[in-house]
Amino acid sequence: METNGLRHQFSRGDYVVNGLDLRVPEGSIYGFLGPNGAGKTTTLRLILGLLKRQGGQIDIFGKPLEHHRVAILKKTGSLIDSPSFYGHLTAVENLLVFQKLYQCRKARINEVLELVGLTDTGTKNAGRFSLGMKQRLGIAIALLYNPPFLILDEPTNGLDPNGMIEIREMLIRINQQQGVSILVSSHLLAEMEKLVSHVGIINKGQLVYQGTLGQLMAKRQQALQIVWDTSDSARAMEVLNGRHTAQKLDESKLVTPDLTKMQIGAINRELVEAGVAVYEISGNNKDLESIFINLIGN
Amino acid sequence: MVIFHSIQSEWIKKRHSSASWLTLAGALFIPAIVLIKRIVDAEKLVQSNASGKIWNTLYGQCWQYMSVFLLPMGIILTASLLAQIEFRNNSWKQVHTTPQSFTVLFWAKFCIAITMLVQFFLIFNLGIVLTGIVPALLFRDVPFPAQDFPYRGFLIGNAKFFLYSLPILSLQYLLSINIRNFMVPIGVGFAMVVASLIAVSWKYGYWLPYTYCSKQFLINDNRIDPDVNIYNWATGYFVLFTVLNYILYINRKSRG
Repeated sequence: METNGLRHQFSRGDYVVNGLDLRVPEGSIYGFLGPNGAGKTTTLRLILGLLKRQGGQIDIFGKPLEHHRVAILKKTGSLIDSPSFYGHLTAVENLLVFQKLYQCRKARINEVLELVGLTDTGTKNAGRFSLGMKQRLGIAIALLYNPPFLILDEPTNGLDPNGMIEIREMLIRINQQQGVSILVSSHLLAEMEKLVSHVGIINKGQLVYQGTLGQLMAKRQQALQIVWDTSDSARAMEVLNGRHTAQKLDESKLVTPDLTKMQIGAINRELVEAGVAVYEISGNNKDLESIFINLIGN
Repeated sequence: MVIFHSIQSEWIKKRHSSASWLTLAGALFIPAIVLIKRIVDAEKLVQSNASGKIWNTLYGQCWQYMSVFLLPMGIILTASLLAQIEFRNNSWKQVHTTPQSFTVLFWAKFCIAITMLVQFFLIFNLGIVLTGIVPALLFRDVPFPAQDFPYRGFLIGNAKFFLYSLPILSLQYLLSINIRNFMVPIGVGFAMVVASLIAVSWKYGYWLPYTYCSKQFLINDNRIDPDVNIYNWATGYFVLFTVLNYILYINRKSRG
C-alpha cells in the first residue's frame, strides 16, 4: 500500500493530512503511530475510501484506489475506530451479513469465531457483549474472508491484558503463516513495539518518521543522552566550555548527548580535577515511547 | 448477482430489528381492532358474515382507518428505523468498506425498504381476511363470509394504495439516510401528515404526496379536481425523490 502526497482538510480548516507518503511493504506489520488528532484515523478512512480524496494518490496492491475500489476492498479487511456490528443480531448473524457479501465459505464463520474466542456466545445479541467481546467481533468481521491486507485502527482497545496478548499473537501468526500484510494504528506504544516490523509516525498530518522498527531502535542510540548529577552544574558548564553541546538542567544536573565510554571517563576526570563532585552519570532509558515523544516534540 | 448477495445481506440485518416488528405490528393493528369490535358486537356477526358485501365492508373499514394516518406514519417510522440500523450501530463505515459499488448498495437497501412495504401490505390483507374468517371459527352459529372473495377489487385497491405510498417512502428514506438524527425525518414526516389532513380537500392538495392515501376515499368528493391524475403525480414524485436520493448518496463526501 502506498500513498503519495495524500492530503485532506475538513471544511476550510487546516490540513488534517498533509502530503503523506506512506509505504506499507507487502508481508509487513506496519505500526501507524501518532498522538490524538494527528490524522491517523483520517488517513485510514482515506485509504479505505470512506472519505473523498482531495489530493494525492492511494495505491493498494499496485492499483489506484480511485479506479479499483471494489477489487481492492475484496482483498482488504478493516476495523476502523470502534468496531461496527449490528447490536440486534448474534455474533453468527453478524458474520452471516458479511459472509453473504464476500461469498466466502460459511464454515469460516465458526473458524473466525474460534480464532477470536467468541464461540460460546450462542443466541446472545452482540449489543449485550462486553467491550472486549465487541472488539473481538470487529476483528472477526475483518478476518472473515481471509483478506491478504488488514487495516486495523486501535484493535486492542478495550481488551484486558490477556486479550491484548491473544490478539497480538493472532496478528503475528496470520502475518507469519499466511503472509497477511497488516496496517495497524495504536496509541499503545509498548504493544506496538512487540508487534510491528515497520513503523510510521505521524504528527499534525505529516509523517515524521517511516522505516523498520530496527531502524527506529537504532535512532534510540542516536537520541541517547547522558545526565550528569554534580555538586555545581554552573561550574561544570564552565569547565566544559561549550564542548559536547552540554546543557544545564538545574542547579546540580546537566545533560550531554550520547558519548563514548572514553569521552565519559575523560569528562568525569576533568570535572573532578576542577573541583566539581560527580555524584551520578546516567543514560536516559529510550524505549519506543520516548523516541516517539522526541520525534513528535521536534 | 452482486446485488442479489447485497440484498441477502441487507435482509439478514433487518432480522429482529425494530423496523421488522413495526411492520408486523402496524399491519395487524387495524385488523385486530376491527376483529375485536366484531367479536364484541357478536349479535351482528351472523348477519354481517352472511351479507353479500362482507369483504367490501371489511376492506373499506380497515383501509379507511389505515390509509389516513397509520399507513403514512408507519412508512415514516419504518424508513427511519431502517436507516437507523446503520446509524445506531455506527456501521456505515463497515458497510462502505465492503466490496460492492455504492450504486449496488443504494439499490439493495432501497429494495429492502420497498420489500418491507410489500410485506406490510401482504400482512395487512391477511389481517383483513382473518377479520372475516376468525369469527366463523370461534362461533358455531356464525357462517363463513358469504361473498366470494373479490380478488380483483382487493388487488386493484391495494395497488393504488401501494402506488400512493411510494413517494412517501422515497422521501422519508431520503431524509432518513441523509440525516443522522432520527427525530428530523420523523418530525418532518409527522408535520407532512398533519398538513396533508388539512390539505386533502384543498384544490391544490395533490401537490403534497402525503394526501394521496386519504384522497382515495374522497375520490367522488366535488372538492377533488377529477382532471388531476394522482397516479402520475405519485409516480413522478417517487421517481424524483428516488433519483435525488441516489444522486445525494453517490456524491457523499464522508461515508462513516
